[in-house]
Amino acid sequence: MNSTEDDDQSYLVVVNDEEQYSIWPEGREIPAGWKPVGTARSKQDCLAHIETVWTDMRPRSLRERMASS
Amino acid sequence: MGEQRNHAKETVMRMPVDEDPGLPVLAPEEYHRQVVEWNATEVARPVTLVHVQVAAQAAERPDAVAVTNGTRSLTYADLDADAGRLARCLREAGVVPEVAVAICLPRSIELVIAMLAVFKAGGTYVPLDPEHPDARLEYMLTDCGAPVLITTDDVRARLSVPEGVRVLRPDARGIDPVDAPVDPGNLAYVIYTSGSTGRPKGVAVAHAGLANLVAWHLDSYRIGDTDRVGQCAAVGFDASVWEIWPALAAGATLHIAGDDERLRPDLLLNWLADNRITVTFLPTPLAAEVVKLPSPPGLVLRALLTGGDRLGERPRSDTGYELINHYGPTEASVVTTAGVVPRRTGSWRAPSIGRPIDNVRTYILDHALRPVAIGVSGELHIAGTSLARGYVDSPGLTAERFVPDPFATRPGERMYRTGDLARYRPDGAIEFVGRIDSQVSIRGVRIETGEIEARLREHPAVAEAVVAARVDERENTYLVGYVTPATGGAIDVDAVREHLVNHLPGQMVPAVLVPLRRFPVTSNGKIDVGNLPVPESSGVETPRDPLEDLVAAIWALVLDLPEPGQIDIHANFLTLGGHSLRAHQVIARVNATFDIDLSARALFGAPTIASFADVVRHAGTPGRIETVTRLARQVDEMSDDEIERLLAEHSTVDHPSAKGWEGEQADELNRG
Repeated sequence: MNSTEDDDQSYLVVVNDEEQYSIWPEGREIPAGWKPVGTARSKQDCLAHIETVWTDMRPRSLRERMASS
Repeated sequence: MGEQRNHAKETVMRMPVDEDPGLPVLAPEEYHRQVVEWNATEVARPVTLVHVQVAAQAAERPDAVAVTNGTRSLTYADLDADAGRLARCLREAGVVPEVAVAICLPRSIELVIAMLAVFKAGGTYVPLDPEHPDARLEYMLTDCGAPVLITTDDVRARLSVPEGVRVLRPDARGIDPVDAPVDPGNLAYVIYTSGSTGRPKGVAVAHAGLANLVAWHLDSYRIGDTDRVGQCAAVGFDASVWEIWPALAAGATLHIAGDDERLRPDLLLNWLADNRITVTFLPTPLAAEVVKLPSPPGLVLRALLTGGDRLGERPRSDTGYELINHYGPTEASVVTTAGVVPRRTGSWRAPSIGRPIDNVRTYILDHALRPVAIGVSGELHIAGTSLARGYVDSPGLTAERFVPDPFATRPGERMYRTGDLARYRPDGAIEFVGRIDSQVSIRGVRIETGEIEARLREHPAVAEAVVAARVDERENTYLVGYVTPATGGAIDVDAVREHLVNHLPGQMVPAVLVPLRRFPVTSNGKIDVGNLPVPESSGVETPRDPLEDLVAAIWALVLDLPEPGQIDIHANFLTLGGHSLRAHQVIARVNATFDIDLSARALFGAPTIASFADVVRHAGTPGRIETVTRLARQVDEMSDDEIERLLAEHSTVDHPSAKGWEGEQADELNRG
C-alpha cells in the first residue's frame, strides 16, 4: 500500500483518549475509542496537520502520571 | 468462559459491512477463527521492568556471572554496581525518564553495562554501531536529540559530535549508585531502521513492550539461572535487545561471541559447544548455514532462535536442538510471531513464521482493512502490548503507520501496518510472502530503496535516481542504482559509489550503478521501473596475477563458487552472491592470510577482485604477500596424499586465526 495508491481517498484525522493521532478513510465507520478532528482531506494534508498538533508523543496517561510524581 | 463468548459475539457484530462488492467477505466462522481464536494470546502478568529484574538477580546471586566475553567475566554484583555508578554520571549529565542517551560502543561487556546504566538513570538508550559510516552515526546522533553520548576515545575522535552533547567514557563512574523510578510507559530504547524519506528513522519502544518480550521469552524458552546464552547480533540491530535482556532478567550468563565466531558457521558451532551455550539467537542466513552442519561433540544447545529474513532451511534430522523461527518489525518490540521449525522429513515446505506471541495480535487484511481468506495474501498488521510508541519526532509518519485497530477489544487501541505480505495456513501458522512497498530485503536487512535514491540524488553529478532489486541466476537478490546526469555530461560512477560508501552501510550500496541518459517513462509520465535495463556484464576477464588468484580463491570459498580461476575480476562481490555476513567472512580470511587489518567497508568500497586485490596490495607488506601467494601455489600443486600429510602435521594447531589461508583451505578439505 504505497501512498500513490490512496491518492483519491479522503481521510479524517482521528485521535484517541491517549491523545495519539492517526488517520482513517472517510466514509468508513470509525473504530471505537477514536474521534474525528476537523473535516476530511487528502492523506498528505491530514499528515501535515498531525505534524503541527501532535507535539508531545507521550500517551496522555503517561504524561499525567509523570506530572503527578 | 461466558465473557469470552460475549466477546466473540461482539467481535462478529463489529465485522465491517461489505463496502466493496468485488471481493468476497469471510464467513462468520472463519472471521471469528482468524480475528479472535488465533489472537487469543492474552496472558495477564504483573509488569516488572527488566532492569528491576536484573537488580533482583544481583541481590539474590551476587557472585553468579552475568556477562563474559571469553577472557573477562563480570558478576551480577559488579554489573549492578558498575551500571549504578555510571548511571550516577548520567543523572549528573541531566538524564531522567524520556531523555535519550546515545551509546556508540562495540559488542562488549562495557556495552551491556552502559545499557543497564541508562535504564537505572531512567533514560532511553540509542545503540549506534561504531562500524557504520561516520556521517550516518552523526545523523542519528543529531536526530535522536541525545544530550549524552557514551563512547570510546577512538570513536569520539572520529565523529563530529553536535555542540552541547556531553561525551562520557564507558568507564565513567560516580560515587553513589542510582536506581531511578521508571514508568512502564517510558521509553526503553530507540533503534534506527532504514527510512523511505531518505533518512533512517528512529523507532521508540517503551519499557512495557520490552517487559512483555522478556516475560514471553522466559516462559516460552524456560530460561533460568543455569542457562548460558549467546550474544551474536550486531549493535543497533534490535535482536541484540532480545538477546541481552531476557538473559540478564533470568540470571543466566550472557556470552559475547567474538567477531570471527559469530560470522563463520563452523567456528560458531564450535564456540557454542566450547562455551556450553544452551540458547542463542542467530540471524536467518547464519542459522540456515548452521543447521546444515553436524553438531560438534559437547554441543548442549537446546534452542536456536532465528529471524530477520525468509528461512529456507530445516534442521537435519539428527540435530539435538530445536530451531525456532521468528518474525517481527522493530516497531513491535522485536518479536511478533514464533514457530518451531520441524526437522527435515520427506516432504518439504518452507518454514512458517509461526503465530503471535503473548499479548500480541496479528491481522492479515486487504486494502479495505478486511481480513482475507485463509491462504490468500494480505498486509500483515500487528496490535497489542508490543507496539512501539512511534517514530522519534515524526508524528505524521507515526500516524500513517500506526492506525486505529478496528478489531480491538479495548477502545482506542492502535495497530501497526507492517508493509509485509503474509498469509494464514489452515492451522493458523503464518507464512511470510514478501514486501508490499519499496522496501526490499537483502539478506535479512530491510532496506528502503528510497533512502538510497535520496543519497544518489545528493551527489552533484546525479539528476535523478532509481534503485531496483534484481535477482540473478543464482537466486541472489542485489541492488542496481540507475542514475541520470545532472548536466547532460557523463557520470563518474566510481565517485558516486564512493559517496554512497561514505554514507550508507555496505548492504545498502548497490552492486551495480548504471548511468542512463534518461529514464523510460510510462504513458502517464512516471518512471517505468519495469522497463529499466537489466545490467549486463561486458565479457569476462579472469585473474591476472598470483594475488588476484588468491583473492579469487578466498571469494570462491566464501561464496561457494566452483571455479575461482573463472571468476570475472570486474564482477561485483554482491552480484556474485556476497552480502555483509560474507563480506565479514572474506575480510576475516584476507586479514588472517595477509596479516592486515581491513574492515568490511573496504570490500564494499572496492567490490571487484581487481579493485579489492589492489586494496590488499596497498595494505600488506610486499614480503608477506609474496610469501603467501607462493605457499598457496604450492598447496595447489600438491597431491591429495601430500595434503593429507600436511593436515596430519598441523592437526595440533587449534587457533583458527593463526592458521591463515592454508589452514582454512585444509578445513574445507576436511569437511568436504
